[in-house]
Amino acid sequence: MGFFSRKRVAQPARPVQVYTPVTDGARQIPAALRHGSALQRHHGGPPGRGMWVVYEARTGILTALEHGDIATVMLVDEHGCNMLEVHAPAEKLRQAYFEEIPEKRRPDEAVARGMGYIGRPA
Amino acid sequence: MTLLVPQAGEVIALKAFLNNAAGQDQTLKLFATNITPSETDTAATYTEAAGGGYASKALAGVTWTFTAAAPSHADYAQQTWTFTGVLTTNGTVFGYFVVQTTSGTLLWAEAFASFTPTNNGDQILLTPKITAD
Repeated sequence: MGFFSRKRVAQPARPVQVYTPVTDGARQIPAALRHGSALQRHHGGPPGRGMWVVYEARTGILTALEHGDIATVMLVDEHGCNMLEVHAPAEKLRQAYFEEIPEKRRPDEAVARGMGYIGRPA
Repeated sequence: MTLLVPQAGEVIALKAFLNNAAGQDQTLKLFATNITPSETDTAATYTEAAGGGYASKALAGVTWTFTAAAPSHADYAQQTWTFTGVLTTNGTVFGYFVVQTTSGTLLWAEAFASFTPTNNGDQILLTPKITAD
């Protein structure tokens, strides 16, 4: 009768992931780009990073403006979660109406009005 | 990456600048929902990471370093999260947010490229920084 042994083969260690996101700290779109943009708030103020906008009937968040007044917008779903990042001429955007902000992320109405988020016109 | 100071954070900054209300130490947290920070956000907008050895980080006001430059900026030492495995709620980290430690009010937030902790020892290394611009 023969004997056999089963050696446990050492498994290779799973590599550890180290992620180092880079923060540059810049908190706002440059003033010259904001004040010269075709995109304005309903109450006439300049746009800003994080502003809720509408592009081709879809709600999104303005994240950047570049020379040439090209906007970067993150379109969101009905929950306010990221769907698709697009680049579009700022003239094709408008500030969102209060009701167009996804309900889960909709702020207090008085706060919103102060930032130009008016109600949808009748 | 683009840092966003929401309206609530702007008001806090103005009040501290004009000696209307004292600032507070901060708490640095990772969020685990796939969202882009907006100017109308509050701390409740963000779902904080949980499990997998995660814990928020305390940031002390006295530890920030301030540099007068163009633009002026404030910097904090690198913060390290070392995970023991997967997160227990949403499995992927999408960014970080900073709140006042006592009031819980959102000061700023920033999304970054998503990262999914998987293995014991996986790390996120983040160096907090904010500019006056």
